[in-house]
Order: sequence, then C-alpha cells, then structure tokens
Amino acid sequence: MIILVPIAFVSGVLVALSPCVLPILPVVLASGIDGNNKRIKGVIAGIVVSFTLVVLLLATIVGTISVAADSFRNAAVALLVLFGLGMVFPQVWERLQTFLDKYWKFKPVQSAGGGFAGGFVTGVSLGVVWTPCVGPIIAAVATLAAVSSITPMSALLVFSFSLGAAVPLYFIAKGGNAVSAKLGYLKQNSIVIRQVFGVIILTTALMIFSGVDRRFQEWSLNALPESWTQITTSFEQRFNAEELLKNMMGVTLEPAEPGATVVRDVRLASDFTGAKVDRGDLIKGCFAGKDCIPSIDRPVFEDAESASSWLRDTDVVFAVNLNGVQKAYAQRILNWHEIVNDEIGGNEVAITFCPLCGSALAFERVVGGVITEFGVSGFLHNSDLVMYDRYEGNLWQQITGEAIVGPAAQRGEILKQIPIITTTWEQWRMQHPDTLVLSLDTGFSRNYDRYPYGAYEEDDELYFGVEGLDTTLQIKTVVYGIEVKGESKAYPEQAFDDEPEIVDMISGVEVRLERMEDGAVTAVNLQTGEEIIPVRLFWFAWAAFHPDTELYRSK
Amino acid sequence: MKKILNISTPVFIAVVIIVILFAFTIASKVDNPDATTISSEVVQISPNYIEYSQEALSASLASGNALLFFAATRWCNTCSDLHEELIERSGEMPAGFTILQVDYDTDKETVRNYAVVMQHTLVHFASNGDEIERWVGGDLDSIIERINRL
Repeated sequence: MIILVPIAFVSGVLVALSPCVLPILPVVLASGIDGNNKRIKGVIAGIVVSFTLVVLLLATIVGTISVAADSFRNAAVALLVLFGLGMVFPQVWERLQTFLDKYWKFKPVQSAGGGFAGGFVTGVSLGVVWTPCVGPIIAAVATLAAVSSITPMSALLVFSFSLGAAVPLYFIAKGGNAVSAKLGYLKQNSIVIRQVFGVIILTTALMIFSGVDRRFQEWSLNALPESWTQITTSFEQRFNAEELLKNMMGVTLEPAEPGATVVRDVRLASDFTGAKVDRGDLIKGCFAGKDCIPSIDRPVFEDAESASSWLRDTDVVFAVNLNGVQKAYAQRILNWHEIVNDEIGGNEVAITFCPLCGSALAFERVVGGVITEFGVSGFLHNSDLVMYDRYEGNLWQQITGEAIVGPAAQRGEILKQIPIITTTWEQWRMQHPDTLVLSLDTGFSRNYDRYPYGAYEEDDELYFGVEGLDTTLQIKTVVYGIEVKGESKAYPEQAFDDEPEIVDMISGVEVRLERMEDGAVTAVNLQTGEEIIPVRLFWFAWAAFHPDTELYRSK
Repeated sequence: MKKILNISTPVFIAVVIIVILFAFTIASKVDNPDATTISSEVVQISPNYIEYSQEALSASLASGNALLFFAATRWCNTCSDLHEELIERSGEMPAGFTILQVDYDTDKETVRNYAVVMQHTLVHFASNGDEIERWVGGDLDSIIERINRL
C-alpha cells in the first residue's frame, strides 16, 4: 500500500514531462527568465499546494456552498491577469500598492511576480487551472474526494504526485533562466524581461479563459503518440496501481478475529444481496454522504456541577446507567452528531439519536464479534437514521438495530441493545448526582443552542417519505414501544402521567411498564422476569417499523 | 535604458490589447455554441448512450432505466478511451441503463447542478433519480464491475 507513494511521485514526474503540462508550461518556463530563483521556487510551491488542495477539497467546497467549480477557475484566471498586468505596468502596480498601504495598511505583494510571494500566487492560480491527464491514482483520490472523503493515504498520494510534478517543472524553469542568461542582452533589461513575463502570464490566462488550452490539449492527444500522452496511466498500470488502490477504496476488507478492535475507512455496503430493504427505500438525507453528520468518536466528559453551567434543568438528556457508571448526553449536542462512540463501565457502547424520529437507542458496538465504531451513513429509511459500521461498512437501521445492507445483513445480525432513557436534566441529576455529562467540547464547532430542524418536533410535517404513514395518533406523539414474542405495542408517554405503573397483556404474556423517579420507563416480562428495553420515539416512526403494532389506550 | 522603456511600453500595450481582443473573440464563440439552433431532440451516440439534454433525461427517467452521467471531454485521454468503449462495446453494458454524456466543458449548468468538479466523473442514479454513487476515472470494465457489485 505504502508503495503507492513513490509510484504517485514518479507518476507526477511523468505528467510534467507529458503534453499535459503544455498549457502551464509557458509561465513556468518564463518564471525564471531574469534569474530570480525565489520566484521560481514560489511558482513551484504554489502549484504543489494548490493542486493538492484542489483535488482533495474542491468537491466538498462545491457541494457545501454550491458554487460552480468554474468560479474557482475563473478567479484563478483573474488573479493571473492581475499579476500579468502588474508586471507589464510596474508603475501602476506600485501606485496600487501605495494606495492600499495608505488606506488599509495592507501590502499584499511587494512587486508583482517579484519574489517568492508573487511567484507563489501565480503558482496557486496555475494549480487551480491545471487539469492534467490523471491516471488511476489521482482518479482514486478524486473518487474519495467526490464523496467528501479524505484519508491520510489519499492526501499523501496527491501530495506526492504534485511533488513529483514539481521536480521537472523546477528544472524547466531553471532551464528557461539558463537560456535567457546566455542571451546577455536580456540580463541588462530586467524591466523589459518582467514585461515579457507579464505578457506570457496574460496570454496564458486568456488562453485558459477562452478554453484554448483545452482545445490544444485535445489536439495534442490526437496528434502525439499514445505512448507519450498516456505515459502516466501505462506507468501506473505496470505497477498494478489499481489493485493496490482497492485497499484504500475499502473494496477488499480483511476479516478480523473476534474480539479485535477494527476501525477503518470503509465504503458503505452497496451489495443488496440478502438486504432487508430495497435500494429505493434508502433516501439520501444529505449530499455529502457518509459522515455528513459527524459522529463524536472521542467524547469528553465533565461532572454534573460543571455541566449545570450550560445545561438547563428542562433540557432533554439521554442517559445510561451501566455497571455503576452513569452518563448523560444532551439532546442539544446529539441533534448535531446523532452518534457518540463511547465506553461505559468497560462496555463499548454507541449512543445513537435520530432527531427526525425522536428515537434514542444505545447499542453494543460489536459487528461480527469485532469491536468497531458507528457513523452516520447519510441515508434515511422511513425518516430514520441509517448508521454504518467502520468494520465492514454495513448499513444498520437505528430504531431496530438491524443490519439492513451488507455482510452483516446476510448474517442476520441485530445489535445488542443497552438500556437508555430519555429524561430531563433536572430529573436525572437529582437521582444521579455523580453522573458524567458529555461536554460541549466535542471537537466540532456547532451552535449547540440552536435546534436545527425548526418546528419539526411539534408540527405535522415530515421531511422525508414514510411508507404507510399511520395517523391514528398525531404523528409526533411520543410513545414507548416494546416487543414481546414478535408482537409489538406502543404506550403513549402521556399514559404514564395517569398511571405510572401499567400492567398489560401482549401476545398472552403479562408485562409491567413503570415510570421511575429519574424519568426512565422500564418494562419487564412478568412471566420470565426478563427486562424489556422500551424504545421512546415518535408514533409515526414506531408504526413505520412495526406496521402491525397495537396501541395502548388509557383506561 | 530609458529609450527602450519608452518604446516598449506602447508596444506592450498594443500586444496586450491584441491578445485581449483575440481571446474574447474566441471566448464569445465558445460561450454561444449556436445557442438558438440546439436541437431539442435526443441525440443518440450508440444504443443507450445519449448526449445529455433535459429531453434525454426525462425520456430516460420515463423509460424506468437507471442513469449513468458521464462528464466527458475531448481533451482528456481516459475520457476519449471510455467514449470509444461505450460505442464499440455498447452491448456489454448491463440492461436497464442509460448513459448520458454530459459535456464537461460547455454544459456548465449541468456540471454545476450535479456538483461535478473533475473531468471523467461518473454519477450513477437509480431509476427514481436518487444518486447511488459517484466516482472518477475508470474504463467500461470498471463501470460494469461497480454496477454489478451493487
């Protein structure tokens, strides 16, 4: 796998020697004509930095703020034009500098294209407009980037590729310098030479703006021998780069021993063989795909006293009491992250919350016997969060804990639930003063005072479709759902206001539900004494996943 | 020295103006590719490989086919290779697929709407229009492999 790094480097060297470099070649060649080594270094460094960043980040930026990728290209061209003009008319540039300095105390670049900084800006522009022939390696990095995924490996590969390209480009620029030095005439006329450089930049910029560079590239592909134009692709294929890349793309995943801990960059399962849902049932909830809503993987905790400085008594918390450890997670935080990968009293636990279903559940984060983490897949099914695991990339239904797509679905896996309650901060801290509380210090910058879904919790609206919407109750009515021997029943939360203890029959079995002091609702199978974990959520969501559910009516 | 400057500055201004005029002439030609005469009919390149247009998109969705957008250019060699393969080996694509060729250079609106940032991007949509996955690069074999994996 690491062998790909030098392959990417050589690939970059070859790209810079192939016709793909021609559109930016004039500027590179001319950058050193007056022997200004600092400018050469600036141009090359600018190309390396900006090409790397563009490949890694442009897709995410364009997807997030919906700006056309072309705007960046045009901005880069504008920057080149500005610099070119600055070099052709140094007096104007100087006046502009003085003007900026006078009014804003702002000195961007001392002289246009003069030293390292001027060269760097030119190079950054070139890195944005440069669209080289990409082989399998950069294509793989771009594929990950297209779904907003950057791994350390993908970043390293594109950087290595850019560095490789920088080497010949540097020598090309030095060569330009050597040639101009030989023509002694030029050396004594540095202003003229700069003006020549400026005109070359301007010409390049305008050719790029008008698309001539691409037509030239098209011509060169047809006119020049394939062994030269396809040199990067054939080089990478010779080293079997595509096979090596499969690991980075998460296509081949090695199974792990049971009990091991595996957290890796997976691809979401997309093989619907043995899946529990149809492909059409999964709705893309956010464009960016997996981890578009980031889970908290390194949670930080504080004590009740310090949490009370920001947590109001009426705030809703999800709370777990396990092996003598109590932990509370504010809904205000979970609204923005949906999943916390945590460890409670020696148990590996995922705290999960789907804001659109009002459902908080906790699971052991174990898949196929392997300890792993869960993340937000970006898909929704019946408005409910679809999670993925970072071991095999299976998709999991949050409300049922069932694997719905992937190898775990084929194995019929269901996550082991851990009791979690939904209550208010006041009720919880009164009963459990030693509780730990998930800190606001999540490592992400979100406004945890803001509820991101408007009036969703009270109104009659759904953002995404639900199959067979059941409107027996107002759809956002909060219920507790339990399952006994394959039959399910929902208990409206309000019912417990009148009867804190409900004894009921489900499929011939007597069960008791009870609301405790701390706000928890517990349930027990009176026949076997087994504890049942009720799920608290909106009525429509319970009914969507339990279409045959019964509904408890208060006496 | 001074003399050279005096002569060269007007020369440079002239050069710059000529270059600007030249570039804009070309640019205006590129920006208006006979906008009024674009035909509204569906342009078929080979069976199930069609040039992108609103009409082609609607027709493909109506046929119940899944879609594959192909952001193609003529200046990228891997794009041209795939383009050739899609014509020569059109029978090998899995059934129920329509490939829509989006011109990465000129169809800026579509490229922006689907947030495509690189030539040779492929986007796979279900027949209801939901995006399934997207990737960059690869030949026909890799497309077939990806689709069959789903």
